[in-house]
Amino acid sequence: MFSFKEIKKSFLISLWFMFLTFPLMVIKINPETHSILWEWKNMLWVGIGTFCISLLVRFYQARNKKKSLSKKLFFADRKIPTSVIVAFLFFSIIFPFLFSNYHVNIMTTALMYIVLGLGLNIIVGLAGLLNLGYAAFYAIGAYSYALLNYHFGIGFWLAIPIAALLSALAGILLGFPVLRLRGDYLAIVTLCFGTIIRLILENWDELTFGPSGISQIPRPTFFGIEFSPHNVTTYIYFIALGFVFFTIFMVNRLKHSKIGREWQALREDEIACEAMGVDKTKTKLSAFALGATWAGMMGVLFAAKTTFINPASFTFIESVIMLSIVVLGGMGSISGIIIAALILILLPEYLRELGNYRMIVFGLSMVVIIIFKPHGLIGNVKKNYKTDYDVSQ
Amino acid sequence: MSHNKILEIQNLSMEFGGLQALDSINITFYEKEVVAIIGPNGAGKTTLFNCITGVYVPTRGNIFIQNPYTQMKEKINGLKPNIITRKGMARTFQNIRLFKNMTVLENVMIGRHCHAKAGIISAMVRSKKTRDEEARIIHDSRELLKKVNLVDEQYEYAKNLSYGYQKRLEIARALATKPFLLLLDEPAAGMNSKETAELMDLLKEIKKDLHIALLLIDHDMHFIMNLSEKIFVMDYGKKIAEGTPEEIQKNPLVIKAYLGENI
Ligand SMILES: Nc1ncnc2c1ncn2[C@@H]1O[C@H](COP(=O)(O)OP(=O)(O)O)[C@@H](O)[C@H]1O
Ligand SMILES: [Mg+2]
Repeated sequence: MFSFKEIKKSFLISLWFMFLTFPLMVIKINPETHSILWEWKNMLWVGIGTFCISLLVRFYQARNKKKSLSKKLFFADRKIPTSVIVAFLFFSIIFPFLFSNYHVNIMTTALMYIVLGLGLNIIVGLAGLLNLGYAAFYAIGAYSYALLNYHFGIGFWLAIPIAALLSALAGILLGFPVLRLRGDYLAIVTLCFGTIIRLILENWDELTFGPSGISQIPRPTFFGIEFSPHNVTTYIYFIALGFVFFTIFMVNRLKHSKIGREWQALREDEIACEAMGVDKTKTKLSAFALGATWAGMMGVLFAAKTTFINPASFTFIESVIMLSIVVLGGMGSISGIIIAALILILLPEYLRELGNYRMIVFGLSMVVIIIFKPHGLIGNVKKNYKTDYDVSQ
Repeated sequence: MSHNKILEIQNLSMEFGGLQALDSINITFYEKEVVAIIGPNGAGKTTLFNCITGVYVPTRGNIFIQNPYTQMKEKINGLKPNIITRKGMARTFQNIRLFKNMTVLENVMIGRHCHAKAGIISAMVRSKKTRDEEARIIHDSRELLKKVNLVDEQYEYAKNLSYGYQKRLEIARALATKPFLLLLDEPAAGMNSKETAELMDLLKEIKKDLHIALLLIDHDMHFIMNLSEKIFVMDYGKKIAEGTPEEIQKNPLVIKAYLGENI
């Protein structure tokens, strides 16, 4: 089944891992006696573990190569059956009545990240513009609500469109200087943008209250009615769920519209795109603006949910998680992003019992997904433009 | 045959650093003509295309187009490529530049977009007007695919097509912008003789049905001589000859620069 060469390769990889993890796994310090304990046994485990995983990956890759392309795409190129969608819908609606507030809270966060992932997907997945500063738009939304409420008493529902507009403007503002950039350069500039926004929030004390943040942000109301602390969790869950449906609906429409196809064309080839009469500037800026809109709206919901925000909530890592959702989900695929958001947000929460190993398991599962599904969990579904419309008129 | 000018190139020069890629080119094109540009590799043919279509801004000289329908004449050098395409010139590329991860139909639809109005708001609202416009884009694109014989592949990703099919798709995509002048950069390059013959038929059909002018670059002499009514020869950025295929075949300058002794 395996050639000697492959076994040798796996063996070398395991040796390399043993070397890499040597300081971490083998050298332990006994804090009482201030002496070093040499845990050689750990090294053996690392070696055996890596060797087995490496062989497994090789086995999978070899098997995959043999399979015909159509079989490999079995899952990738298919629409999700309606029954599954209905089951999900039903489950999502009864969810808050089955589980405790703790779980509802976590699920609300996951739903918010679905919306964020779908929004970022417009910029990264559809238009192909790498963005490592998406959390900045999230922050702009959250601070818009917090500050507008603090100064002018503006409520949650009014803050949503305002925040959407402000983040769209911020998106255009970021878009202008990066019109000529692509790929890694674009990633650097967007990363800087994210950092600049966070630094502004941290240092402009008069406006943003600095690192201490803003507290006592009101929770959303229902036509002026306030909910009890117990019920409001459920209410916010349903708001988030509503946003998820709304976003899926809108992103789907956008994707299969003139502008959506132009975004994708821009991702594929800028020169050909211009040669076809597509305005590059307008198309790019609209992708930045529309992508940012969803982050802005989610920012408002985030502020209302936690009732307290500070700049530490919008760090670079936040942007990375959002980007990971898009990449893991499969660039451009809506159902893939939903699954990825659920995995990426729920997994670390429910792995809390593992303590310090939580992030390792999390990282490992991401690596595994990338190895086994290099194009994301679910590939893009082709659109069949079937129309019965008669154009002979 | 009418003799309206559609494109006038005056004293066009293009320099890259010290390299004179185009040297005072003067060419005039007329309505519904099939014209070929030939010349050795590096002669500046693609550069000429890039200047005409706005990819490069020429160092010196002027380019005018005259729309055959409105008879409006305007200077186009310095305009962006997308603006020039909207004015009625479309092109294909020497190295195929399709939208690889989009379907064949979607590729052509993008070409048709420049005649559609729908913006972001209408994409979200999706009114009757927008849906009608969308249906028309789809319908027109499909008709074009029928013309280039790719309708069976309409839901295939562009990257999965064979080389010859990809070249044909590029032509369909360019035609979707409704040009009055179609520029083809080495359409027959890399094709076998059967594919070349099919392409020749296709181009003849396009000329006959759509009444547009074709400007093509190619190295396949049989192909060129068969299709074109007029030929321009370029060498080292200069136009060294022009004439009918028969004249060009006899021109000693051309034979020396390009064709060799064997034709
Ligand atoms: N963007 C560019 N930068 C520098 N030199 C270029 C560029 N494009 C073309 N050239 C040069 O201009 C000359 C003409 O090239 P080209 O127009 O591609 O020739 P061809 O007739 O084979 O299509 C070549 O010497 C080429 O190296
Ligand atoms: Mg060339």
